[in-house]
Amino acid sequence: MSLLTIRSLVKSFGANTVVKDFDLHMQDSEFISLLGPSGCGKTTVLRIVAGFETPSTGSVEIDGQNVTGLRPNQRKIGMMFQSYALFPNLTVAGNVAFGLKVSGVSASETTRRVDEMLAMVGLSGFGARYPYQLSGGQQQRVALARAIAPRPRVLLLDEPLSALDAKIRVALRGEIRAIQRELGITTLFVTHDQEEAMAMSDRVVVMNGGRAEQVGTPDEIYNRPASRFVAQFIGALNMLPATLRDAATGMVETPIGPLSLERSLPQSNGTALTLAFRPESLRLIADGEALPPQNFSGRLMTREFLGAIVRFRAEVAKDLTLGIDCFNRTGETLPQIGHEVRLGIPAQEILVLN
Amino acid sequence: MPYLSFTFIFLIAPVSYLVIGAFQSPDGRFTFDNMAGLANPQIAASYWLSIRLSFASALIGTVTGLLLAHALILGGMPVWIRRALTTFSGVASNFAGVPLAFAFIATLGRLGLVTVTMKDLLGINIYGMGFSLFSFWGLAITYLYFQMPLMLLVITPAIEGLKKEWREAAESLGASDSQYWRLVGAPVLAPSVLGCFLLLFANAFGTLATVIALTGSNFSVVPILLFQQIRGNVLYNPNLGYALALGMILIMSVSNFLYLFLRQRAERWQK
Amino acid sequence: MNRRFRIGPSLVTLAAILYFFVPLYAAFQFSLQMKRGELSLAAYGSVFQDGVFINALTFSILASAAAILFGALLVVPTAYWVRLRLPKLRPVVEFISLLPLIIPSVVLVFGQIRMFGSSSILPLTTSDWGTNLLLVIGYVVLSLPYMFRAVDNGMAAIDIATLTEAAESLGASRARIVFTIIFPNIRAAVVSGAFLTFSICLGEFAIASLLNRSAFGPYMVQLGQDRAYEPAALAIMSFALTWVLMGLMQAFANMKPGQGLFRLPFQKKSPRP
Ligand SMILES: Nc1ncnc2c1ncn2[C@@H]1O[C@H](COP(=O)(O)OP(=O)(O)O)[C@@H](O)[C@H]1O
Ligand SMILES: [Mg+2]
Repeated sequence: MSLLTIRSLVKSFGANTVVKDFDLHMQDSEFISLLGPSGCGKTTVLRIVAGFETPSTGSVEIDGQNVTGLRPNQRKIGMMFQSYALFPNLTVAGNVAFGLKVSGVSASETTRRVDEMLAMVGLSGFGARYPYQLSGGQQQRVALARAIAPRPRVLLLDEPLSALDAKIRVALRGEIRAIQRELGITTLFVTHDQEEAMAMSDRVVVMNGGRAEQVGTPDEIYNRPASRFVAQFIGALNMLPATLRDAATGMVETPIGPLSLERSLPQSNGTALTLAFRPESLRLIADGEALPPQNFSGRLMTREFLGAIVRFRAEVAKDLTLGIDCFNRTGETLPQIGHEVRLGIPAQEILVLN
Repeated sequence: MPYLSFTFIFLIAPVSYLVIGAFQSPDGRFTFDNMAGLANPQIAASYWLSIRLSFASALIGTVTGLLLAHALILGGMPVWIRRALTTFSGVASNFAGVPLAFAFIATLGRLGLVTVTMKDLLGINIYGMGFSLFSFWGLAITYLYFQMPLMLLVITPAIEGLKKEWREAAESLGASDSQYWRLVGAPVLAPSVLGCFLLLFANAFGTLATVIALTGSNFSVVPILLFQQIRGNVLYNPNLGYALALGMILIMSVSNFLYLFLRQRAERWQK
Repeated sequence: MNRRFRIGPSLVTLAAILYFFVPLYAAFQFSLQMKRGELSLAAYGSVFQDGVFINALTFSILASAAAILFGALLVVPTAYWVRLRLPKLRPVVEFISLLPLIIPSVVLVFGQIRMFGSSSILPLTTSDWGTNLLLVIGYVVLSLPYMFRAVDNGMAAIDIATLTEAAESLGASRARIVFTIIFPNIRAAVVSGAFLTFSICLGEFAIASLLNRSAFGPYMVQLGQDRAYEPAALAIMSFALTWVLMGLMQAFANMKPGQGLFRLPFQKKSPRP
C-alpha cells in the first residue's frame, strides 16, 4: 500500500483546467519532485494534497485514509513555502512550537521537541530570535523545523529554495534531503529547477500542461525520456530530422547522411522522425583515431569554456548546428573555432521521437 | 532658509509662546499655577468629556472600520465594491466639519429622516427615549462618518500585509481558524490597530467645527472651551488659556507619536 | 481559501454602505423640501441668491488659492534643496511639516493672535489686510503636511540630482533650474497637493472665525443657526465638491512626471526658436 495516493485528479478554475487526470502513488519515506515549467500546475497539485484547493474530481488518500474532504488542519501534513511564511510575531522557538501547541502537546514535551528540531536544522541557540533577525536561509531552516516538529505524515514543499542565493540553495537542499532520509518522512517537492529535482529525488514527476508526462527515477527521466517534452525539458538536447528507410535495420536518412540506429523500429518505412541525442553523447574524433560506424563531419562555430566541460557548437549541414560537450582533461588539446572536425555518436544513445 | 524662518515665526514661535505662557503668571513670573488650574472643575470636566468622547468615537471607529476592512479584504467581497468603498472613504474622511453636521441634522435631528421614519413606521421615538443628536452619543455617531473611513484607509495596508501563507502554514500545522487569529493574526495586527486607534483618538480630540455646527457652543469639549476662551476670555485668565492649549498639544502629541511608533513597529514585522 | 459567499462580511458591508448613504440621502431629500408639499430646488436657489454666500465663498476661494500659491512657493524649493544638498536636515524639515497634525488649529490661531496682536512687534491683527495675511498664513501652515508629502513624493519619482546636474552642466542658474526644470516635472504632484489644500481650507472654520473673517466656514455655521433647508443643500454641494476635489487630487497624484496637465496628447510642444 502506498502512503500517499493521488487518483485521477482534475482541477479547473472556471473554464481553465490546470490539472488533468493526474495520478501518483508515493511509497512510505519516498522523496518525489514535481518538475515542470512555470504554470504547469505543480503548485495546484500540492495545494490539493494540502487541502487548500478542492479537486474538481479525483481523490487524495494518505495512509489509506481518503482525505479529499478533510480540511487542511485535519490532514497531518507539513508544509514549506517559497516565502518562508514564518509567523513574524513569534520567536523561532515559538514558530517551531506552533504545531505542537495547537494540538495540545504538553509544555515540557514541546520544549524538548523544539530543541531537538532546532538542533536538527543547525539552529540551536537561535530559539529566542525573531524571524526578521534571521537570514533567508536561516528562516527557511526554521520553516523546515516548524513543518516537521508535529511529525506530519507527508511533507509538502513548494519551491522552498527558489528565494535563496545559489550557494545556500545547494547547501540547504542537501540538508533537507538528509533530514528527510533520517526521519523517513514521505515528501512531495515542487520545483521548476531540473538540477534540484534530479539531485534530490527518488523519483521525479515531469509535468506539462497539467499532466504528468513521465514518472521515473532521475536516471530514467534523463536517459529514457518518455516524450519529446521530457527530452527537451531535461538537460540540453540536439535534434535531427530524419526519414525512416528501413524499419527492420533502423536505417534512416538525415541531412548529415544515412545513419544506422542498429535496432528495428516500429514505424513504417518513409515515416518522418526526429532523432535526439545529448551533447555529451557526441564525441570529437582525433586525427588518426579509428572511425566509429556512425560518424559525420562539421565545422566548429562557437566554443564556451565552462570549467569541467567545454561546449562547442558545430555546423554539420546547412542551417543545422549541434551542441557538443567535451570533458576538459589536462594534456588533451581541444580544437579551436573554425576547425573542421569529425564527430561520432553511439547508435544506442540516439533517441527516436515522433 | 525661508521654510525654517516661516515655520519658526508662524508655527513654532506662536506655539512656544503659549507653552511658555502656560508657566507664567499674568505678571510674567514662573509658576505652575496655570497647570494646576487645569484641575478646576470646569476645565477638568471639559477634558474628561473630550477624552470620553474621543475614546468612544475612536473605539467605535476602530471596531467598525476594522470589521469593514476585514469584510472587504478577507471576506470575499467583489472587487468593485471594495474599490468603490475605498474611494468613498477617501472623500468621507475629508468630509468633516460643518457640512457633515448639516447632513446629520437632516438625518438624526428632531425632524431628520431617520428620526421621523422610525417614529412613523416603527413607532419608536428615539428622542423620547433620551437620544439627542446634540449629545454625547449623537456626536459619537456623527464623528463615525469620518472615523470609520479613516480607519478603513489606514488599516488596509496592515490587513493586506497579513500573508495568505501565514494562514495556510497555521492550518497545515493543525490550527483552527480561531487559533490562527488568536496566535498569529491578532498579535500581528495589534500594533497597527492600536496605532490607528490613537490616530482616530487624536482626530476626534481636535474636532471643533462639527461640534460647533451641531451644538452651537453648548457642548464644552476642550476645543470649544478654548474657542470660547479666545473669543471672550471666559476663564478670566489668559495664562490659564495657555495651559488649556498646552494640555491639548500634549494629548495630541502623545497619541500621534505613539501612532507613528507603533506603525513603525508593525512595518518592521511586515517586511 | 475558497471564495464563497459569506453572510457576515456581506452584512457588515451592507450596514456600512447604509450608514454612509443614509445621511447623504437624508440631506438631499431635506434640501428639496423648502416649498411645502412639493419637491423643489428652491433651497439651492436661495443659497445662490444670497449675496453673503457669494461674498463668503469668493473670499474663501481667494484665501485658499493664496495659501496654495504661497505654500507651493515655500515647499517646492525647500523639498528640492533638502533632497539635493541638505539630506541631514531632512528629518527636521519633515518633522516640522508634520507638526500641524499635532497642533490643533484652535491652538495655532490662539498663539498667532497673541503673538501678532495689537501690542506685539508685528501687529498683524490690527489691520484688515494684516488679518487676511494671517489667515492665509494659517492655511499655509494647516496644509503644510499634505503639501510637503505630495511634493516630496513627486520629487522621489524623478531623479532630481541628475536633472540638476544636467541643467548645471548646461549653465543654468539655481533659480532657473527650480522654476524651469524641477517645477514643471513635479507639476502633477503640486497640483495634487493643491486640491487637498483647497478642500481643507475652503470650509475651514476655527481660524477664520477667530480672526473674524467673513469666510465660508463661519458663514455656514451662521446659516445653520438661521435656516433649515439651505444647510442641507450646502451639505450636498460640499460633499459633491469634496468628491470632485479628491478625484482630481487622485488623478494628479497618479500622473507621471512630464505628462501634460491640460495639453492633449496629440499636441506637440512648440519648437524652441
Ligand atoms: N486560484 C486560482 N484561480 C485561477 N487560476 C489559478 C488559480 N491558481 C492557479 N491558477 C492557474 O493555474 C495554472 C497553474 O498554476 P500553478 O499550479 O501555480 O502552476 P506552477 O506552480 O506549476 O507554476 C496557472 O495557469 C495559474 O494561472
Ligand atoms: Mg508554483
